[in-house]
Amino acid sequence: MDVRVENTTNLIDSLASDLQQVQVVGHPLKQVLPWFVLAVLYVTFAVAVLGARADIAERMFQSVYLFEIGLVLAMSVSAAFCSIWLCIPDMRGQRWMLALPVSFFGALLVWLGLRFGLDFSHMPHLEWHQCINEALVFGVIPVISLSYLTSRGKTTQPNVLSFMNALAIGGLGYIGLRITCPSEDIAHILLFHFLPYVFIGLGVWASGRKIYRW
Amino acid sequence: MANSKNYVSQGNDWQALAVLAQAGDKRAYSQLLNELVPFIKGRITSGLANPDWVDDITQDILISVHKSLATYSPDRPFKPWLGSIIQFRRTDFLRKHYKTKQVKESSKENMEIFSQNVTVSIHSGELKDIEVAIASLPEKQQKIFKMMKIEGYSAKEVADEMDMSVSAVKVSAHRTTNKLKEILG
Repeated sequence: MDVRVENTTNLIDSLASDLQQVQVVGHPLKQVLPWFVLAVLYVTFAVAVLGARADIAERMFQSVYLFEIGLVLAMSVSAAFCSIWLCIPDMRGQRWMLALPVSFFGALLVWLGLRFGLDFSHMPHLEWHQCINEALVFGVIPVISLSYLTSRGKTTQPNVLSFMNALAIGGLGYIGLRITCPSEDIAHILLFHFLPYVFIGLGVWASGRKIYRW
Repeated sequence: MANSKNYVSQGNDWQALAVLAQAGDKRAYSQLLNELVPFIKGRITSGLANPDWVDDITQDILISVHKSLATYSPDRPFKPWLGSIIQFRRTDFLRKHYKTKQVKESSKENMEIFSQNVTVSIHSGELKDIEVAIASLPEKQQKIFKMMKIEGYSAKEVADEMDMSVSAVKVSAHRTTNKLKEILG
């Protein structure tokens, strides 16, 4: 018998002899909900510690502010959900769901672009701003917990999974910053609220191939 | 028409075998894996530059099927799930292969790297040094490979020593062999 055929036969025998009963992975919703509850609680806790912006009550009645928060929340929730689906090789046929967070992200980019075009007045001074520290605070626990949770999966699309993780985590952190930071200056928002999560996202993406090897 | 019927029937059979395998039925699992081999080979062969890779990729796919068996949902068709794994492993194999090849080609042109990596001067014309290749592997893989392939211990003995399952030891040894083939060209 050909050595390579023999190797394959031996491998099959070995895999079959090692087989044990397996518990079928449950519905992704059951897995993502605990993470999402934990992440929201953490962001709420961080907001409570850092302190909400002084005009938060007033902002809660402004449709523009609520639209932005709602859009980012929708992006974050749908991305977290997709991350867990991506832990299954074929996503159980739910590939269409990837369109949701990507569309919300596209809408957010358009929204921020429009605001930049209409409201931009001056470039803020480039410095290590307090908001960058807060962005890291909001991101650290969700990024570690979601990366750990998804690393146990068997993804066949590590890059897409990393991107979804970045959207899920970046979205939550962005909301946290919009609740704590009083600035409505679009350049400040882009530079100190949005950009840190772009870098965190790049870090998540770069480490994705190692984290999601199986 | 007859072909499409066979295709559906085959998919349903594999679905049933996969469900039995998830319940721990070793015979059904062995039958499933054996039936998958020609299908996998048929899917990966086209477009491969080297026909020798077919068996390596097939074995990688079988290991991946084993590792991800719990992610297969019994109420879903089997072939899309398998197809995702096949596509992923094929791409992964080619990506790794061409990455290694680039490193190897650049080292041939770089005399400094060449002199650092050939430890026995008599072999200096070959650019093949198995000791260096083994040393470049993770420590655990090295130990398993040396015990099984050089010192002659059985997979069971290595598994006991390393506190691992027999299958995990065999899979590790298999992967190490493939990796060494890659490194040594």
